[in-house]
Amino acid sequence: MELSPSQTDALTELINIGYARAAGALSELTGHRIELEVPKVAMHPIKSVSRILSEVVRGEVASVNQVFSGPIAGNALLMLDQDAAALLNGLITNGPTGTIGLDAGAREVVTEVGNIVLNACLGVFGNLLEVQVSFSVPRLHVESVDRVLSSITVGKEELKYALMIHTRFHLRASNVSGYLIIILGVTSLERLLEELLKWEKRQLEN
Amino acid sequence: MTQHSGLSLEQVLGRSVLELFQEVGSARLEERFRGALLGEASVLSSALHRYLFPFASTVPTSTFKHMRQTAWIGPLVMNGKICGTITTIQDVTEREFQSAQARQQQHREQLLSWAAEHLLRASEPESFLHELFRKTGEHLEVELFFNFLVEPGAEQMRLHSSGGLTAAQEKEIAFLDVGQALYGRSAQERKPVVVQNLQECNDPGANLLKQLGARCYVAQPLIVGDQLVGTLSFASIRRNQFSQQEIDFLAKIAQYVAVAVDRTRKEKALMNARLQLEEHASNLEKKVEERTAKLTETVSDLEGFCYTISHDLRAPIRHIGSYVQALREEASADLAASAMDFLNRIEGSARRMDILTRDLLRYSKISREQIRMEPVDLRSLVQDIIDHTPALRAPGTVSLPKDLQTVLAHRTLLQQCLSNLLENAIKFVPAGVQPRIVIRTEIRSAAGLVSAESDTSLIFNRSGHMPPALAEDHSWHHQNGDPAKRPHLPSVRIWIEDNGIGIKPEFAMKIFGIFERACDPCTFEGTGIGLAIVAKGMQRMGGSSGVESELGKGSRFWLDLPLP
Repeated sequence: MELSPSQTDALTELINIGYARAAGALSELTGHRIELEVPKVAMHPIKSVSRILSEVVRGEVASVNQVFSGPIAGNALLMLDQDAAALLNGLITNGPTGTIGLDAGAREVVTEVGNIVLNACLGVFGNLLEVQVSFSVPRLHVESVDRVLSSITVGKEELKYALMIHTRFHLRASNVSGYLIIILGVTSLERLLEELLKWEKRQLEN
Repeated sequence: MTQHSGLSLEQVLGRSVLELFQEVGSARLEERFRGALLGEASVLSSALHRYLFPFASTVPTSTFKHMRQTAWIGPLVMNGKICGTITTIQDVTEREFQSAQARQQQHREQLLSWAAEHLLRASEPESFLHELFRKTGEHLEVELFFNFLVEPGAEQMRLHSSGGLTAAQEKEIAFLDVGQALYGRSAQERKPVVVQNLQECNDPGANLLKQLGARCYVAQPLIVGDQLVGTLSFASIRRNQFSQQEIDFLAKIAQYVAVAVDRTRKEKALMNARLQLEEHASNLEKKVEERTAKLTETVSDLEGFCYTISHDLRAPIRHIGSYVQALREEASADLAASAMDFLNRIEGSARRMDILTRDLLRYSKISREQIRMEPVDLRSLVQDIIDHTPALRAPGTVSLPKDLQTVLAHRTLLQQCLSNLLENAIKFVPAGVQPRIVIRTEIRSAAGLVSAESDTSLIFNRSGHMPPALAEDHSWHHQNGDPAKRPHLPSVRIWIEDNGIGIKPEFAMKIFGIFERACDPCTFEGTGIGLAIVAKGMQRMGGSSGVESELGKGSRFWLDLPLP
């Protein structure tokens, strides 16, 4: 399964709506002007995710993981390498930005940021599909990409594909990059793509 | 909830969270609860929210007014339906307090490290100090600082630097006695002074600070070695207390400030001493110039006097000689043998006086003569001297090589010098020894001999005596003049080597002095002025002279002159 160009465009637009909400919420929360760049969306087989990520993230990663369930089910992660996570924490809290490693307070901040971004995106999907999605409490883990991916389970559905969304935060004249990864069961993915097509048509009609 | 909120169970159960804790609503945190009812889960970090519910701090020693909390808000699901929210709150006050302490400690260490690094390197200790006070005040979040300085031995303190004061307030405390008010107490006792909750303090010394609105105050004495140089103090308008860590930190800062102040003073003292020294050197130079001018004038007067006297003495001396001669010629037959003897003695003395005045005249003329340097052919000059001096004309007396170097000199002055040296060479020989003189030249660079241009094997050697220059060297040497005056230019050295009686080492320094003779007692006639003329003449031509000699084995006089 591959995303067609129009599907890619539609997903990009949808996720961008979610990002705008997330950026607004983060700006209000922190008092800093925070922007989220227009996302770059792609779909890849799960087996390729590790390889793709290893090209852009080094060493262990900080990943905020939220499981969502309901009519669509899946796993959503915001993944940043440790340096990026420490930088993001420092920029948001006006603390030092060159810290090595994440202390407990920094982990909570990164978790909250991830939570806001994930909620915004999944909320957009929920609105599109006109379904109510339930989220688990977000958790942050610092470990290798392979371990993160190996711990993902989505009910009984077969997992084949991951939506990989390259995400870039702009704040205080700095940039922090990471990946939003949404892993859906095959059925959920097919349903999502169907609804996406309908949404696209509605947009064109309007 | 009831434990920390102070509310009873009955007051809390069945009530709206937003109604009980209005702060939650005003901080727009109600959206999180509403989201949870729609299935969203939220995390609220303590770093970004501080707390969800305003409960009292659980760490009394911290500066936190409220408990620091991390909260999770999520949907409460029963039978697959969302029926409410569930909120979990973690008390992270201790953790945040420790973290804040660690950050503060790190910041203090960075500040101390910065101060240590800049303390000795700062080219302007004043601006360093001001920057240090500003950074320290920022770190401690205090509004007021005072730096007083005490001069050595003084009983007054001067306000050197301050922050947070108006000009009028600064003026009021510009000068204080040591011991006056809280500011001066630290200086007097040479100990830290700490006053917490200052507004409630009854100490009259605190009145000035109370008027400024200060609520806590700490002063540290600035001490270098055993000398008090001043005080450094900080005061807060917002806070009632300084922590012990802050007081200890200020004690370290005070040490750095004391060193910086001491360094500033020492640099100023050094600068003043340097200026005084320069002034003194300038005055000294001026005095030396004045005295040199006077001395030059005196010497010039003396030389003029010497010239006049010797010139004016010559006529009467000639008269004495003439009349003695006339008396001898006309009345010798009538004179007794003793009278003739007296006449001879008178004539001899008159002759000696004549020679003396003549030499004195020559010596004083050298000082007055205008020197004109020109290339001089040495061979023709020496030949000229030989032609006019019968004693030198005897065959084998003077060895004169064909290729003597041309020198830059004043011709008549050089002729005078060489003439004196040659006359000495034929005079000061042991009885029965044929005088033998070798003249040669060599070019000398600043580093030493470059080449010897004449061949010493041309010496006539009737007596079989080896030339002193080639003999085993037990000689000493002496030089006049300062070769360093022309350090970089090559010169020509003229050697006048004899087989005379040689010179004792103890006369080495003296023989070129006026009226000095190298024999005691002297069996050889002489005025003691000949070599003084040589030394003076060479000096006037910008050259130098000297001698190497060995008693009983002859002497080697040398004259250094510039190459043309």
